[in-house]
Amino acid sequence: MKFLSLILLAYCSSCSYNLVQTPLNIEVSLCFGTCLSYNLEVLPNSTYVLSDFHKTRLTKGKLNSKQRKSLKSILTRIALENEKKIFGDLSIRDVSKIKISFNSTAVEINGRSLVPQSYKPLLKWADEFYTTNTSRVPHRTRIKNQK
Amino acid sequence: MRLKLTTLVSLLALMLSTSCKKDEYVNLKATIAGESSLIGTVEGSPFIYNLSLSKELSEDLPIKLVIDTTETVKYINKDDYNPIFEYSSDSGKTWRKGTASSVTFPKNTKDLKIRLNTLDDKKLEVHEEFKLNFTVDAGDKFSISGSIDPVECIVEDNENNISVTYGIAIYALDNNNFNLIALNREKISDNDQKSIIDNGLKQEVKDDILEVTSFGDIGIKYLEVMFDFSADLQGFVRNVSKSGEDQWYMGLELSRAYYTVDPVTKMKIRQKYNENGFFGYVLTHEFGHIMTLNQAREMDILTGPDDCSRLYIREGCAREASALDGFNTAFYDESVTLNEPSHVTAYARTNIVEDIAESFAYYNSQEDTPISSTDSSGALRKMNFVANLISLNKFRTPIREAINVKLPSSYSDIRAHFNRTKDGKRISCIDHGKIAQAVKDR
Repeated sequence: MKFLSLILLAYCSSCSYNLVQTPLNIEVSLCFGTCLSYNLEVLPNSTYVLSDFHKTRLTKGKLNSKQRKSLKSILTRIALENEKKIFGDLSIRDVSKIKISFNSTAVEINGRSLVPQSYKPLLKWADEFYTTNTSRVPHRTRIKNQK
Repeated sequence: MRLKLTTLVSLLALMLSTSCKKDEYVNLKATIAGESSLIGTVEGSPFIYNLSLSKELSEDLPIKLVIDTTETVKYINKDDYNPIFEYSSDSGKTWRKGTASSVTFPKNTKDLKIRLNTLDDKKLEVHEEFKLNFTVDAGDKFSISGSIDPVECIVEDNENNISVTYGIAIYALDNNNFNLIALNREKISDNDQKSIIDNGLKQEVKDDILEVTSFGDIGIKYLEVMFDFSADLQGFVRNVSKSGEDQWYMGLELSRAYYTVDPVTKMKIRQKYNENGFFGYVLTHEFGHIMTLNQAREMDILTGPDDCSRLYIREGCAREASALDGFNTAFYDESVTLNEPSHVTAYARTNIVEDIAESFAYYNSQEDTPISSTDSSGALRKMNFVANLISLNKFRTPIREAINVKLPSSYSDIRAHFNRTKDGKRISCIDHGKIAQAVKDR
């Protein structure tokens, strides 16, 4: 019985320690203009992989305690569980498409202007994370021609 | 006796009259105050502002008024109100006319209402603002203490409005007229934006949009205007029809048509309308979407993905011999290898729909298109695809005659032999490794 309690305790501790139960994925696509674009994956153990819009890995590592704390706080405030929603018109062309998924939540947002209030802090966090964690100039759409 | 009586009556009358004059109320001293520093009304209803004096005055006190619109971008237009101020000293039972710059605080009163009538013009507008400044014209005669702070006045527009997602306004196009059907009041933050709402789009913009979008005989039904130089998004399109027709809704960022960045100071500077051709490029890109995604000739929304043997995207199944189907076969087949640069721009890499729209815009913006071979870069081959497809190449001459269309300043021409190392040495067109490295080095 004691052994079982210990296992349960360890399991619960692990739950509360983890940022998320499933990887947090934030995909921000290009727009016809100069929008930020990146893919960010954060695993439950706080390791992350940051890629550009071609899915080329830019950087990976582990969130520091400050980043972890701020992200956890933001995720806690997204109160909607099991939210599977599409915001905006799927057929719109040229706007930035944003996909966010973690735990039981999966949302797709067609255009930054349509980001729901509850997800704005998360996207702001991810934008800042991207710009501060890439040595490159933020990759924007209207880059120099590739020739 | 009669004479005595007359004299007596005269004397009495004189005494009475003298006594009245002695008792006449004379006061030229008081403190003045206004009720609040913010008032609002709905278009068509008046503004009413209350003033009060601590004591009644024995003479009329002039109050000067100024409608100040210098500090707000949401300034009230002159045709939205009757400029003559009115005033009432009987709690609004009767009103007297003042002038466009003054009212009178009548003698022997302590409370004054000042009224300014706004006009209901059935026009969709911003919630307009102005500041009402007061000056008590006391001269040497009065001793008036206290002051009336300027009052912020807001006129709420009463027209029905719908939400605008990205820009400041939506126009419905009908017989070449741009009818304002929605505006984003919260986004109006400068005079350019206010001017668009009040005066409509400039003729030059309307002409270019109408002309370019009419070339394909499909046109657009709605235009969402964006005007924010710092904005990321430059344009968008979507077909809003629910029944398999073409009802195109286009969004365009217009600030880049009127402003550009000074190459030296990096500051925003004004330019002649579309002088640098960037707006022309954006419009051509969006037009390219309509020409490659329309239901009339290119896509078939009624054929589902299971029944579609060609390219299937959100707009439906690509019709046989459609531009996108040909583009898909030529460049998106697994067996196809494209030399770098494989796309005309980074944005073209997003998906096939953006790839063909960017190739179309590039083909129309570049002065010429060198003939490509199988060894050429993917970018040049895609431009050649557009150049050789009659359903797309037929627009080049009319577009270039209608609007100044140039490659964005950070882009450069796609030539037949452009692959060079960082040091300028030419790279063979089939040396993919070196080309890829050169692209990376840039």
